[in-house]
Amino acid sequence: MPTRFSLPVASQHLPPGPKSTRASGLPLGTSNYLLSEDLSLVSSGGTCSWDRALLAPYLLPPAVAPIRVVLCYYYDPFTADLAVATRHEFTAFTRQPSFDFDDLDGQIRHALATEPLLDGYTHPAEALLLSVFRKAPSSAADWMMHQVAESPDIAFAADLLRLLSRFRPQPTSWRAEIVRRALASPNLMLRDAALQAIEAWRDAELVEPLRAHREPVGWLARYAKQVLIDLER
Amino acid sequence: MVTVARKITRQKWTPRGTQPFQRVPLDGVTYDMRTENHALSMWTCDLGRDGSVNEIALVLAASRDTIDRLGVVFVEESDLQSRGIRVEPTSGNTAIDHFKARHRDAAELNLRRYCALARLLNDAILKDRCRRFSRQQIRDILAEAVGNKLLALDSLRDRVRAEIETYLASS
Repeated sequence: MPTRFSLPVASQHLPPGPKSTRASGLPLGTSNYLLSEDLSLVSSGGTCSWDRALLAPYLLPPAVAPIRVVLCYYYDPFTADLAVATRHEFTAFTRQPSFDFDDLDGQIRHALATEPLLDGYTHPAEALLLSVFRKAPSSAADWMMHQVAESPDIAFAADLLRLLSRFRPQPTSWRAEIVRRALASPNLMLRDAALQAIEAWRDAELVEPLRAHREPVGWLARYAKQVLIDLER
Repeated sequence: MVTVARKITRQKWTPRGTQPFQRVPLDGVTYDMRTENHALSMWTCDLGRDGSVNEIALVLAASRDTIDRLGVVFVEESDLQSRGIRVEPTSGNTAIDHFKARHRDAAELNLRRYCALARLLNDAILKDRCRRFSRQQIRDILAEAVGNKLLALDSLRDRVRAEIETYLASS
């Protein structure tokens, strides 16, 4: 996960950027630097030298390539035309052994609030969820099951399940279990999300939970019947 | 009587209560009534003609990123007009040329007309004047259109095209 740092950096580390007039003191730009594992510069918008000792304390072990450093540069309003970096912010991406699920939760909620999750259209939160299932599948599976089975925020849990149905996480038995729990929900949105997952995954093991499901809402019951017909084709 | 269809996410139109202010679910409105240039896109269809509803599904599904289920709601054009909503023929954004003329805009919406339109859509949903196509049905409709050369495979987005190609090859 990204970690933000602030540290004073000497002016010789300042990258080429927009020339300041007598500057306002506001940030004038951001540069993206891609560093290799040994912290040598791989690519950037210009040239810049890096002091490993300067960066090293701010990188979490194990530092795995590539590390992206976002450098925000500022100009000192009191220093004539001489640009002086007063603050650099580093965002270092390192491979983490586990995920901060509170952070993931926040990121997904933000993505869903920014853009509605529409059937048939890709959504930025898909990549977030897919990434955590690839990197920490077991913890992700536990977290996801908890959301669907116990979270009081049903709308969020339903959206998570709809996102999950866009790829095939975990073994079939796990997928069948999460679908079973969602179908047992008293909330229509979660049951509807379960149906979407069933038709997306098309596992033979999902036919039985669907056949056993007694949907109380008319239009959703008709839809569940259609999905069952599709699966049995 | 001319009917117009609008794509909906039906589960978001679940009523939250019985009070008048709760009657139109706002999640449904914010999901499915995003205007552009103060207009809402719709497609005409003839509910009395076989295949007309499938054509709406085809038009809507052919422009999506992935094959997925699809919900539509039907309202009468005259009901829109009687509430002061102008229904304007505009060229639809579809790869199927002869469907372009079936596109309508509920145009020049202001807040009053927008609310009237939301109530109309909600009433239609409550009366079950809607249809939801399953993912498999959408795949069948797209594959048939490609097979009949009504729709060019190249006009589909990458993931849809790949799935239809695989589906056609296996059937």
